[in-house]
Amino acid sequence: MTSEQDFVDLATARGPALFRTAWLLTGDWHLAEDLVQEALGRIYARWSRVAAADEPAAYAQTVLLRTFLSHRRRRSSTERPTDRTEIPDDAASEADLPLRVALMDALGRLDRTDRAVVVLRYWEDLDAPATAALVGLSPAAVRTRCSRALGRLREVLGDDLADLLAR
Amino acid sequence: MSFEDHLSAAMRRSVDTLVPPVTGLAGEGLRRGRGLRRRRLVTAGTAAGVATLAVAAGVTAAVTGGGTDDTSRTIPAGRTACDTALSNGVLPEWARDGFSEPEPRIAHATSEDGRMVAILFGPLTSPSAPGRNNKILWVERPDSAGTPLHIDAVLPGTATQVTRDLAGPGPSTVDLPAPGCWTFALSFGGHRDVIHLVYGRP
Repeated sequence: MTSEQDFVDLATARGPALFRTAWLLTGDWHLAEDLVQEALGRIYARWSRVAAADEPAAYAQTVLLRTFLSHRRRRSSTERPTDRTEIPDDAASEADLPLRVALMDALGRLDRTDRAVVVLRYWEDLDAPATAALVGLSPAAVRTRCSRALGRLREVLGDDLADLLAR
Repeated sequence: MSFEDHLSAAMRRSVDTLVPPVTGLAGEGLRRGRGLRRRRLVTAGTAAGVATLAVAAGVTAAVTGGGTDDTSRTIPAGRTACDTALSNGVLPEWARDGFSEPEPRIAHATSEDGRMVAILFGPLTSPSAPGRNNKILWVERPDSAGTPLHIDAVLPGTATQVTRDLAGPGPSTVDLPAPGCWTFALSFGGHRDVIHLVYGRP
């Protein structure tokens, strides 16, 4: 099997999970697509190192996160983090649309690092040390950021979140 | 349930019905990755490649003399197939991925049927010059994409033949056992083509 085929196999297997994470990070279908493609491109460019890694899937997740953080940094002068939320036409059931819109609006009010911390902690179920390793912070800094971000999300979502989930 | 539990549940429900564009992700990721690889090579080698083209061409004439290739193409008198294949001009549009200039000029050879370009980052030599590799960046025409890339290299007029198997078009190091104007029979993804490359003395 060629290294190119190995890469395509990994991208095909991990692409959907990376895209879901990317969508939560960006709140934008096209930005999420671009983010995953950029991350996969960086992975292919270093394929010999990735293939030698014990867990290529974990490596892919790390590259995605770091690409997201650098992406946002590069674009921050011209774009707000997320002031618009694109919901793919074919993706959400009608009942879940209000939940999605509310969630993406709330996540969009966080800065990129806080948003990454929240997504890693509550979507990827990573603990503080694992999250810290991915975003390049100390575990204590991750806890502080997470607490602050949750406070912000509570302000925005409040009891609405439970109500939206109950529908 | 705590707020954190609600948040986690909201994320899961929100992404449950997403249908990611799987093929597009892998395909575009591969294309971007190839571009990044080429950009690295180009950054390292563009200056050396352009500067040494004249030297490479000079070595060609000195080593092969013009009478050692047996290609059936029409080769102008006094020139070898390697001479006619080699250019220091602008790369074909489809071979520019990864180059920062809009019309990059770099030493390159084009295959007989035009399906493949070999981008050179310096003179190819046999044996390889100390501290240098015989680096070749293979770029296939978009309508001729395919992997792997199999090379049968022969030195016309001799029994010398070398086989190389590469994962596909892209960067490679191809060392050959003797200087001369080599003929490379290329097979990739069901396509066949021939390219001529000169290996000078170091």
